[in-house]
Amino acid sequence: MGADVLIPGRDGSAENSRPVDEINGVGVSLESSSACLCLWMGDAASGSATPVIPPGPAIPPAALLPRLRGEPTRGDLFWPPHPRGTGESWPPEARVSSAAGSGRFPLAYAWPVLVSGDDQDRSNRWRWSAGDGTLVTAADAIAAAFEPLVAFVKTRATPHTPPVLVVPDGLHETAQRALIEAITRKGVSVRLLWRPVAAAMVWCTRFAAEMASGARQEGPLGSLLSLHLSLDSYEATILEVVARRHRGEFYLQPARRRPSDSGEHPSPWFPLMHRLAFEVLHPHATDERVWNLLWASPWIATVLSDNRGPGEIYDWPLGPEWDRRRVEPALARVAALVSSESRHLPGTFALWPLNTVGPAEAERWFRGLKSQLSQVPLLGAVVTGLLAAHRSPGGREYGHERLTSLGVLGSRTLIEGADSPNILAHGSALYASRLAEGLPTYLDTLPRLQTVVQRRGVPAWEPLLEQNDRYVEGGRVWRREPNLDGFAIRKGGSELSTALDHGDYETVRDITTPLGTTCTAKQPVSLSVSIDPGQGGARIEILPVDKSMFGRRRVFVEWQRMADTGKTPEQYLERFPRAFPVTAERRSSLVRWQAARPVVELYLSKAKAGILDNPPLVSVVDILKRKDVSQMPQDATAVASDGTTPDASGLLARFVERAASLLAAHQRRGSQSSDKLVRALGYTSTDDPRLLDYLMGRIENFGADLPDYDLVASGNCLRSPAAIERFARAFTARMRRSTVGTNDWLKALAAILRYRSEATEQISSPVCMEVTRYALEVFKSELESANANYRFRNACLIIVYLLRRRAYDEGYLDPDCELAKEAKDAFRTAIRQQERGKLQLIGGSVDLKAALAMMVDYIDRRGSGKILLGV
Amino acid sequence: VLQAGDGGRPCLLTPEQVDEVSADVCLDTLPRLSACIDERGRSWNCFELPSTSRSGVPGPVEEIIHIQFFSRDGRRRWGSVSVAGTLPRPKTEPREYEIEDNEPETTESAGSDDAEGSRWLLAGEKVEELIGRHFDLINSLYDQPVADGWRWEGDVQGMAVRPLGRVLERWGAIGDTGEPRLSLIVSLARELPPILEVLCEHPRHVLGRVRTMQPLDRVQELDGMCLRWLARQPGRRVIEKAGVSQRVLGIARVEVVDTLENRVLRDLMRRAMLACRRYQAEYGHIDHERVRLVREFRHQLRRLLHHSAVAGVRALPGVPRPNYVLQQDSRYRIIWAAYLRLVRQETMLDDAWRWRQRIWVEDCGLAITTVLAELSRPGLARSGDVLLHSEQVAGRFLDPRAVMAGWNYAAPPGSGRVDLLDGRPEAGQLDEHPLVPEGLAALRPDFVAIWMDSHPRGARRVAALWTLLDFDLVEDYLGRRAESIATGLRRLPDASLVRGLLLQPELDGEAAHPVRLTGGIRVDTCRGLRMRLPLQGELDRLRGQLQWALTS
Repeated sequence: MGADVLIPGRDGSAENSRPVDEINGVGVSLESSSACLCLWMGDAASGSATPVIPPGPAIPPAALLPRLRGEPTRGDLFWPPHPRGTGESWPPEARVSSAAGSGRFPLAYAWPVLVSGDDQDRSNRWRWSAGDGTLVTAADAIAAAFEPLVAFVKTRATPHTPPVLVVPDGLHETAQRALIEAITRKGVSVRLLWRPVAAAMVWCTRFAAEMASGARQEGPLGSLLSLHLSLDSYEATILEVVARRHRGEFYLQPARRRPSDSGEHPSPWFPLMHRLAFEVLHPHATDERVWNLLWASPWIATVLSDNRGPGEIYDWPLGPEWDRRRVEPALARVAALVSSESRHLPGTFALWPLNTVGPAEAERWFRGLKSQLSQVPLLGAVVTGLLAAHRSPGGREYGHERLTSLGVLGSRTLIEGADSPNILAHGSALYASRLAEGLPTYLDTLPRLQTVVQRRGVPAWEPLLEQNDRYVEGGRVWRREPNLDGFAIRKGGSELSTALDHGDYETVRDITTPLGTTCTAKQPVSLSVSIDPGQGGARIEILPVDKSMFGRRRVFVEWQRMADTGKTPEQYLERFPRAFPVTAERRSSLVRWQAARPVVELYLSKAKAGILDNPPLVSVVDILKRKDVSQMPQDATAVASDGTTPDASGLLARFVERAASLLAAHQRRGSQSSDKLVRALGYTSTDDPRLLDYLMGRIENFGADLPDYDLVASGNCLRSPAAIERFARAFTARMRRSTVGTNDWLKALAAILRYRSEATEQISSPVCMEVTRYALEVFKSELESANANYRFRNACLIIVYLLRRRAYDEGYLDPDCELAKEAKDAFRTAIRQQERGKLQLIGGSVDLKAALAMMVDYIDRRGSGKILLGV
Repeated sequence: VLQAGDGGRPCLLTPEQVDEVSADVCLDTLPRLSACIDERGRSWNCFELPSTSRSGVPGPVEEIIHIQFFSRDGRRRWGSVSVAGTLPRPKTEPREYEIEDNEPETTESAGSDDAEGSRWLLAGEKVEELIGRHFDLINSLYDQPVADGWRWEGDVQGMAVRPLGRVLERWGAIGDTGEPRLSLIVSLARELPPILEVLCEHPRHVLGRVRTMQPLDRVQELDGMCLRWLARQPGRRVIEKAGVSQRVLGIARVEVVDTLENRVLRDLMRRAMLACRRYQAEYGHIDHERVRLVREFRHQLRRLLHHSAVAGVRALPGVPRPNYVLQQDSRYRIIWAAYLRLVRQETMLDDAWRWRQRIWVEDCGLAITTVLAELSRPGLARSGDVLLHSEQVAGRFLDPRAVMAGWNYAAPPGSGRVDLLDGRPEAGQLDEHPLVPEGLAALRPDFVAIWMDSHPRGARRVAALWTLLDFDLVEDYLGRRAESIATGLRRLPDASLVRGLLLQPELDGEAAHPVRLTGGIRVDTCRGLRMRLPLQGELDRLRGQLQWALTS
C-alpha cells in the first residue's frame, strides 16, 4: 500500500493513472443499472472519495452462471460484456430463451427478490439449461457482482476496513445474512450499509458546517428525506439528523428507524425501459435484442442520464437506439402507454417473478408519501439512483421534479448525478473510513428479537435486544449487558430448547441445541447476545454458569438453523411446554349475577341486625353457588373467584359488608357460627378481613374437624400463602384419619389451588407430596369403583395444581420419582377405562381423556393448555 | 507405409466398426476426424495419426507406430503403421556428461555440412521453436496472476480460464523475435543458482557402513561377516589373528553422498544444462538479460557438475518416486519441484512434437483471431473465455468447449459480424452454427469465418481455412493442394459464397532450397499462403488474405 496504488484514468490506461497515498475505505454501490466503486483516500476528516473508473463503460451489473462444473458464478460489470447471456445468436452460451433460461442474471432481477425475502424460496433460482446445473440465488448473484470490484482493490492495496456494500433499507435480517454469507463464500469480507444512511452521510457532510452554525447542542436537529429512484424500485426513508460531539469535533449523524415494511415500491421504469427498448429497436425488435440492449450494453445509463455513451469512448458508430433525441420522444410515448397491466414484457422471457407496476400506481405511492411528509418538518432531502439526474423533456432533473411534487424542495437538497456524483458509493466509502478511525458513523435501531424465558416456571417473551427503539451506534457491535439469565438445563438434560421471535417474521422459530454433554445436576445458563446493526442478525451464545461444562466448545443459537414453528408468539406461548398449569379462576357470569341480584337485594332489604339465618339468606346461598351451565366446562358463577361481579353498582360490596358485620358481631358475642352466613360470604369469594380472620381462627381451633360451611368459605376465600399453608396442614391432618367422607375438604383445596396463583408458595414440598399422596389414594379408590364423580375430579385437580409448587421448588415431583410415576399410571389407567366406556366424568361436557393426558404431560413438565374439568 | 511428406497430416481410415484407436507412442486416443464414404458407399472413420519423433537425423525420418483398434462390440485388434518422410527432431537427449563446455550452438552453426540435411534439420528446429513458443504462451497464461481483477480468471477442471483479449495480447508478445522467450529455463536460472550452490557444496549425506581392514585398536564395530573372517584367520588370540600388520576386518562409518536426493539434484542439473544449450542455440546471438542469465546459469551448472561434491553421484535410470527428504526437506523440496517442472516440460515437448500439426493449427487459429480483432471494433468477443489445458491433449491446448463470440467487423466492404468457428470435429461448431454452408464440414477445414451483414437476413461470406505444417522440402505442393481445395469448394451448393485459404509455413534461407517455392498462390476460389515463422510477424499478409476471403 502507499505510493504504488494507482487509480486508472477514465480510459483505464496506466498512462493516465495517478498515485494515491492511502486507501482508507472502500465503498461499493451495486445498482440495477450500474456499479460504482469509490475509494476513500486519506483520513476520514480531510480525505476525499475517488470513484474508480472501470476499463469500459458500466453496463447493468449481472452475474454469469457457471457453464463448466467448478466454475464460479462471476460478475460482469462493464462493456464489453462477456458473451454469456447477451442474447446474441452466437456463441451458444450467449443465447437467451424462455425454455433454456439465461446465463446472465442481471441484478435488476436479483435485488427485488432479495428484498422481498423470497430469495429463500427454492423456486426463485435463476436457471440456465446450458450451465453446469448450479442454481443461483439472488444473494449469490449480488455477491458475484461485488467480487470483481473488491478484487480490483485487492490487486492494488489492502484497505483498513472491509469494503462496504450499500443495501436497500428494507433488507431484512435473513437476506442480510444470506448476502454476507454469499460474499464470504467468495473469499471476500464485507460490511453492509443501509442505502438511505449512505446517502444521508454525504448530505450530513455537505451541510454539516451550515447546520453546526445554527445548533451547537448535541441531540436531534430534525428530519431528512432520502429518496431513491432506480430502475427496479423507489424507496423513501425519513431519517433523523442528530448532532454529536466526539473528541471535540462536531458531527452530524443520520439516525435510522427500523422500517415497518420494506419501504420499497416497484419502480415503473423497469417495464418502461423494456417497452422503450422495444420501441427504439423497431422494426427489428425481438426479445433477444431487447434483452441485449438492456442488460449487455450501457444503453440504459446512456439514454437516462448524461453519461457519455461508449461511442464517445470507443470509435463505435451507434445505432439510432442510442440517440437521445430519438429516444426521448419515444420515452414520452411509451410512458403514456404503459400501465400496470400484466401482459408479457418484451425481453423478459418469463425467467423470473416480476412485480411490475405502472406509472399510475407509482403516482399513488408518491401521493401517500406526500401526505406522510406533510406531518414531518424536514431539514433537507437527498435523492439518489439513476433516475435522480434524468432530465425530463422540460430540462429539469427527475429528482428535482419529484421533490417539488412532494413539496419538500428546499435549499438543502442533494441530487445524485446533478449536485454530487456517486453519492451512495461515496457515502459508503466515507462510512468505511470513519469506521477505520473509530469516528461516529450513524445511529441505528435494532430489530425486535425476543425469546421465551421461564420466570418461576411461567414462560414469557423477553426482549434480547434494545427495547423502545433506542438508537445504537451503527457499525459497532452492541452487546447486551448483563447476559440474559433465567435458563436452566435440568438434571440429566443434554440439550437446550430456545425459541426466538423476530420482528421481521410473523411466526416463531425454535431450535433444540445439543450440548454435547449430559448435565449431572441442574445447570443454570445464560444467553450472551450481541449484534452488529445491519450485518445479518444477532449472535446468541449459550453460556453455562459452570464454565467447564462445554469444555472448549462454544454453543450458539442460529436463526438460520431454527425451525419455523408456524405459530405466532402468542400461540407459541400457549403451547409452550410447562411444568405446571396456569390457574383456572372462576369467572363471573352476567346471567347468573342478573339472577342473583334481586335475591341479594331482597336479603338486604329484609335482613335485621342480629339475625343470621333467614329465608332470603338461604336463597342468596343457593343463587350464588349456582353455575352458569352455558359456559361449561368453564367454571362461572354470579361472583368470580376474585370476588368481582359484572355489576358496578356496589350491591355485592353492600352484601359483603352487611354479612361480614353480622359475622364479626356474632363472633364477638361468642355465639355459634351461622352456617348460611358463612356459606353466603364464601360464595362471594370476598377478601374481607373479618371473614378471613374468622376462617383463620376456625382453622386454628378446629383443624381437621372444620365444618363443611367453613370449608366452602375457605376454598373460595383464602388467599394469603400463610393461610393456605395452615389450611393444607389441616387438610393433611384430616386425611391422616381417613380419606372417606372428605369430599368437602378435597373440593375446598382444589378450589384454593386453582384460584390462587400464590397458593403453593408456603406449602412445603413434603406437605405437597403428602397431599398428593392422599389425593392419589382417593383417585385410585374412585377409579376402582369406576366412579368419576366429584371426589375423582377434585383429587385430579389437587394433584395437577399442586404442581404449581414447582414455581418455588423446581425439583418438586420429579417426573421420574415414584409418586409421579404412580400418578401417571393412575391417570393412564383412567384414560384406558374411559376409552373402554367404563368411566364417565360427571357432567359429561369435558373430554376426560384429553384432560387426563394433559395432566400426565404436566407431571412430565411438558404440559400445555388449561385444565378444564367443569368443576 | 504412410508417406507424409516433410510435414503432412497422416491419417488413418478404418471401417466404421472401429470406434476408437490408440497408439503406443501417445497417451491419448487418436483424434477422430469427420467420417467419409467411399465410391462404393462404404462408411469409414478417420483418425489423425501422431507423427514421428526421431531425432538427430539429417533427413526425412520413418517410424513404426503400433496401433490398437477398439470396435463398438468391445473387440480389440492390433496393427502397425510406418509413418515416413517426416521432419527429424533436433537432437534432444544429451550423451551422458555431454557437459564439456562446447560453445553455444546457434542456428547458424547447427546442422551438418550436407545442404539437404541442413534444410531438414533447420525445418525441425523451426518446428521446435514453434512448439516452444506455444508452450511459453500456455505456461505464461497459466502461471501469470490475474491482470487487474476486473474480470474473473481462474482454473476450472484443470483448465485455466482466461479472457481472449489477454490471450491475444500474450500471443502477440510471445512472437516478438527481438526478445528471447521467458522459457522455463529462464525462470529456473533466476530461482535455482543460490540453492544449487549451497547443496552442491554441502549435500545431504548419510553415514554408510563399509568393511575395511582397520588397526586393531581402531575397530569399533563388527558384524557377522567380520566375525566369520576373524574366525577363519589362524591363531588363537585376536592379536595373533591380526597378524603382523595388526589389522582386522571391521566396520567403518563413512559419509556417503550418493543418495536419491543427490541423484535427483545431479539429474536436474544435467537436464537444466541441456535446456540451457537449447535456449542458447535459439537466442545465443541476442544480447539480452535473459540470455545472459541462462549463460551464467549454464556456466554454474558445468562447474558444479564437474567440481562439486555431487560430481560422483550416480545417474538416475528414470524419474524416481520422491523420498521423505525430497518432499519434506526445505532445500531439497525446491529441487524436487524444479526437477518435476523440467521433466514435465521435456515430456510435454516429446508428446507435442508428435502432434506438431495440431499445434500449428492452434497457432494459426490465434493468428487468424488476432487479425480479426485488428479488423474489428471492440466487442464482446474479446471478453469471451479461452480454456487452456496445462498439458496438451493429443496436441490440443485450447479446449474446444470455449466458443468465440462474433467480431464487430469494421473493415471494407462494411460493418457486420464475423463468427470464427473452430473446425475441429470435437468442437462441433460447424454442425451447430446455422450459417455454415452445407457440405463444408465434410471438407474438414480447420477454421471457418462467416461474415454477416448487420441487417437480419443480409449478405454473408464464408472463409474456410486449412492449415498444414509442411515446408515442402521435397517438392512444392502448395498449388496442388490449393487446387484440391478449390475443387472441393466448387462442389458445395453455396460455392459462390465460400473462399478457401491454405496456410503453410515457410523456411528461411530460400537460397538453400532445391525448388523455388511460391510465397502464395491462387487457384480459382482458393488461395495458398506460405508464412514465415513466427506467425506474429506475418499478420499483415494474413490480414490481406483474410479480407479477400471474407469480402471478395
